[in-house]
Amino acid sequence: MQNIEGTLLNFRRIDLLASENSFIHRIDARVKILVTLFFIFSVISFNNHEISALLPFFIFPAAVSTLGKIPFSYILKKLILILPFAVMIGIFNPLFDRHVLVSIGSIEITGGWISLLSIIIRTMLTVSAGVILVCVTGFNTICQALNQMGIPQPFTTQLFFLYRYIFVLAEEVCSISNAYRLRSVTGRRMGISTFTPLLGNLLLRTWERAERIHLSMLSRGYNGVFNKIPVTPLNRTDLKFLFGWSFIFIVLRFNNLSVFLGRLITGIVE
Amino acid sequence: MTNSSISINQLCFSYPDGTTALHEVSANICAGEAVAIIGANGAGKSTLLLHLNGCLLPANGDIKIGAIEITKKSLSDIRSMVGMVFQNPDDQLFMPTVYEDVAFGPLNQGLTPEEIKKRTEKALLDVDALQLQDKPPYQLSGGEKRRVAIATVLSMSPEILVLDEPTTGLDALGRRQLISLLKGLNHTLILATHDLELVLELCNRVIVLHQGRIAADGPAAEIFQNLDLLKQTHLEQPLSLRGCPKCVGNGVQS
Repeated sequence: MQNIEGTLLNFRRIDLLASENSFIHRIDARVKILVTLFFIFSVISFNNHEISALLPFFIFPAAVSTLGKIPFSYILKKLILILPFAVMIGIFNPLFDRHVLVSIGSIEITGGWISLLSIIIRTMLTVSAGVILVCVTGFNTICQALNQMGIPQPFTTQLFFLYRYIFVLAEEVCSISNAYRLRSVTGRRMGISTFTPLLGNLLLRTWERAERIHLSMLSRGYNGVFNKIPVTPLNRTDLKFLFGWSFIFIVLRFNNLSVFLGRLITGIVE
Repeated sequence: MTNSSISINQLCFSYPDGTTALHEVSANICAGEAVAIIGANGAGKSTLLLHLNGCLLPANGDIKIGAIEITKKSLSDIRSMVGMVFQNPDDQLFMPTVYEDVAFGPLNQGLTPEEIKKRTEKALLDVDALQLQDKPPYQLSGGEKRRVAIATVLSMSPEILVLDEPTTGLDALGRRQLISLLKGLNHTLILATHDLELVLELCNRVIVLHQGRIAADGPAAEIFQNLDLLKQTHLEQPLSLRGCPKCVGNGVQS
């Protein structure tokens, strides 16, 4: 089960990256969540055919990942995993939208191709921002911050346990899968008729484990309030980070910096 | 009756599917005693343990911890007095780091932050796991997980410690460390186990459960010499009590 074990190692790397101590790591998690959400909304609010105005937004993931010591290669690997889905969303755009928007010499580029590229760029921006947020904050801290921001505890607790037990669940999937492979003489992949009862088995195991964890929590005085962190005020650096990036996003959203730079450089050359 | 004594009186319990797990179980355990509950699979050991801190409530009969009877109303008091260590440490360690896990109980007890810190660090020190405090549970070895699981309970300062199969999955070193740790504690100790050598090292008293009933209750040395009883209850004499196989084979009794 190399794939599942590889995925587990990847999750563990997130924890390692989140335990670094950088300027970005020290920023309050609530601020990082708000800034990331604002970034994502700014990026997705552009129209379908926008490309040039999106490019300057790469400054956010680039700056935060550099300051937060998150390797670009790690983010790129995550993007490569997600990009096929983005391509699938926009794959038919070139067929439906054949209206020519740009001509470079004899090459005519239709609106469909431009919207496909726009979807890819937006996916790269939003996914990298999400990955970086988790890497510089840590999943558990994000859950606590969401709780501080007023998200109801049942939701944040679910997220918290999902992350804690994803390792245990994956190990159980590994055991079930190994048990199957060791007794599957043909070496063929698991068919749907085998897969379905195994999935049911996994659900029952998960259910039993959830009951045992709940018992263990009750035994230690759990009374319905979980991992509650008091709401603390933001400090000056947090506020600067929040308003600074918000200002940059507003500027980039309403001004096409690429076009401006292009004109500036052309002007200087001329 | 002191706070750390246990009185079990005519305890009966059946699971919702109708399986009778415990039938008229009665026992008194004094403060400071180390008692092992042994029996074959399905004898009712874990069910009995789950009753001791109110995870299960008696269908008939009653259990008293000190002078307090276990009822729905007394659960919070009972759980402060009886620390329960579950069989699988992964079920016990659900917080992101070891420190937060050990602090979970004191936090729920409503203690001050200073007291929580003091108790957490002391519990970790007691199980020799202070150096693990910032680690996530999945990075711990089996033995470390078990020690931390015990610390999560010790931090609540219970008077009674209940352990379900404490040596399952441990290697020889981990098992030895656990035995030394448990020997050093002054709590009333109740453990359910199949590890009879562990029982010999830690417990002076043994309760044998068979099909939900108490088949025997007495000193460990006596119970383990009663070969008929062990056979009837699907148990075996601990290896260290059996004679040398070569000498026994030659007709020489050890």
